[in-house]
Amino acid sequence: MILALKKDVVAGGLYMAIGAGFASMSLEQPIGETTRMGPGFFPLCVGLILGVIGAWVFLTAFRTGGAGGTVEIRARPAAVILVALVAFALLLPRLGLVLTSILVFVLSAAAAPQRSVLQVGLVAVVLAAVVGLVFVAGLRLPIPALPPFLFS
Amino acid sequence: MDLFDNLLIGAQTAISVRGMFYALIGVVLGTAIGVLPGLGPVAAIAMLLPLTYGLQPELALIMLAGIFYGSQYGGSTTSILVNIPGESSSVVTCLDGHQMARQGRAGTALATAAIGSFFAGTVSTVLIAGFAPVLATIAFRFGPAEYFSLMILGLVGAVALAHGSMVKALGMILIGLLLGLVGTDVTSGGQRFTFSLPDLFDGIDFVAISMGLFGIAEVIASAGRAGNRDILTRRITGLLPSRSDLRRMAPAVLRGTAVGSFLGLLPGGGATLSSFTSYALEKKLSRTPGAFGRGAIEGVAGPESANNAASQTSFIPMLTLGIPSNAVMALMIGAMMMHNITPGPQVAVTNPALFWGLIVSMWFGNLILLVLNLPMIGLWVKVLGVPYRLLFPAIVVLSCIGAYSVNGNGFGILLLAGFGLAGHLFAALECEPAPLLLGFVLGPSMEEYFRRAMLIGDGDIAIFATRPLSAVLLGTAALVLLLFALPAIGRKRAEAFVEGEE
Repeated sequence: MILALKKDVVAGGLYMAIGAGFASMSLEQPIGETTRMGPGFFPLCVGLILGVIGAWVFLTAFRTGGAGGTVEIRARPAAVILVALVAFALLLPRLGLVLTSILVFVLSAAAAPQRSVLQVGLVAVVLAAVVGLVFVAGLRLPIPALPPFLFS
Repeated sequence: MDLFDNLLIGAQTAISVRGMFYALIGVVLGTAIGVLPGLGPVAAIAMLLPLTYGLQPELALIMLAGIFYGSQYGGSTTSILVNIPGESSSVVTCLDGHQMARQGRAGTALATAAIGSFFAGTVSTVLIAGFAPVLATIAFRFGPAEYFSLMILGLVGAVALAHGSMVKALGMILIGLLLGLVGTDVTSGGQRFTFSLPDLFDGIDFVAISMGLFGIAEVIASAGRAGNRDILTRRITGLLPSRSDLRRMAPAVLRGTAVGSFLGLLPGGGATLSSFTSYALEKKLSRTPGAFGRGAIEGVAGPESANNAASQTSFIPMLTLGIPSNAVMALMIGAMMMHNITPGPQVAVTNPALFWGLIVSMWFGNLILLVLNLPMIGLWVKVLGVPYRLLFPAIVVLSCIGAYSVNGNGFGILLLAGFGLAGHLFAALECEPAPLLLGFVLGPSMEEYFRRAMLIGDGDIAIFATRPLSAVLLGTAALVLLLFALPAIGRKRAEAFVEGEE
């Protein structure tokens, strides 16, 4: 997906937005005085400076007639990976590490063209087994390896 | 003799059975990941961080350091054999290393890289042991104003020496600083920027932010992209360099070590800058500059020594001042904080086993690299053959486990996803993520020093200019900014990076 926007225009806009966001949230905090600063003081300053830098980047991009080319976002892989990550967070407590790893591996593999589904599945199973052994059996991370409902 | 006693303390930690075991594991795993194209030290350390949660702090750091130089060496192997740099510091190794490989001298190129790295590693370990305590003594005299100014200088230097737009990098630092402030304010105990989410009260999880920006973002950018690979499948023979090879590489190794040791100390310096600089230097000094790019052994020996020396000396400002000079050191600070150790001059005093153990383990780790990697080269070639389409789903799964296990809930993974997307956006906008990570790590302490300095200075910002040392540091920072903003030097800076990328 190619957006008809110049990189530096978007970057400058993004900096300004983040700077303004943090600055305005800082204003909800006690600002304090220079000798006894409240929690809002430092982030307010940083946010404002960020805003100025953003404006600088933004305006320079316009003046030079759009430096840096247009923005190219890889929407499909980004969406697939996002789904895979959220799936991991949701599935892990319910299915345990081994099954979750297999599913998330297969899901995220869909972000790129694959040659054979069988191959992906096979690698997923091997990785899940290794991961289960290393992290749960070996390092004893407090994560269930197998679906907890099997043992309840 | 102090130094000797100290090294002895270190040796007791590092050369113990467990110390050696974790250094070995770290180096082997690091190399295995570093060999994979597109995965460098930052991704390797972030991905393997969960492995060290349960260890004692000194063993955890020894293992992480092993992962670091292992992955760096692995990156060189990939550059030589496949012509795809595993990470940015081995970009220049591709130029001559891969040409050597195509001429059937892959073994010699690999051995040159290993020998150069080992020599540089040994020299820089001695440098660290000698200089770090001296720097720590100076750092003990720093007040909050000096620390604040030092951090400004560190961040400015990091921007000036890294590549890409300086103004945009400054912006990324500020974003990092702000993100670092999310969570409970230490002074007032109030919540800042947490949107009342209890999961954010302890701040944004460090593993999620680094894995997202460096791991997931890279996966999104590379998944499904056809890479043109040129793997050398021939059996690799003739590992030992000949007498004439040795004669040609020796001066390059010495110069590379010197360049790297120095540049590693600078903020923003480190492995990438020093390997580029060393390559440029070797080419300039060579009597046959035309041979560069066609398999000149100096073009491998110099940069490889330089990047290893720099990766090690960059530990000096990190260990003694708590100031990260690059993304890898930011990660090491994060890892130390997870083990409740705040990097700074006090570490060598309160935690001598950790401090000296880490230093001695660096030398030992380099020895493992040399002894182990050359015989294991056949295995690394096999690892190299793993196609990216099967590799990236594994990266996703490992990142998830890392982000989940920090706090044991799914919130870390949502953060990971958020920062992965943000990282992809940043890459699309050509905003470098490394300065953000530096700012993130320094954010809380910068605010703290700023507050304290202003309190001492009675609310007058002039305190930063009236304290002499602080003034010098700030003046240097201003000078660096000005110098690099000048068009002439800006062009030179751009050229220095283009040199290797052509």
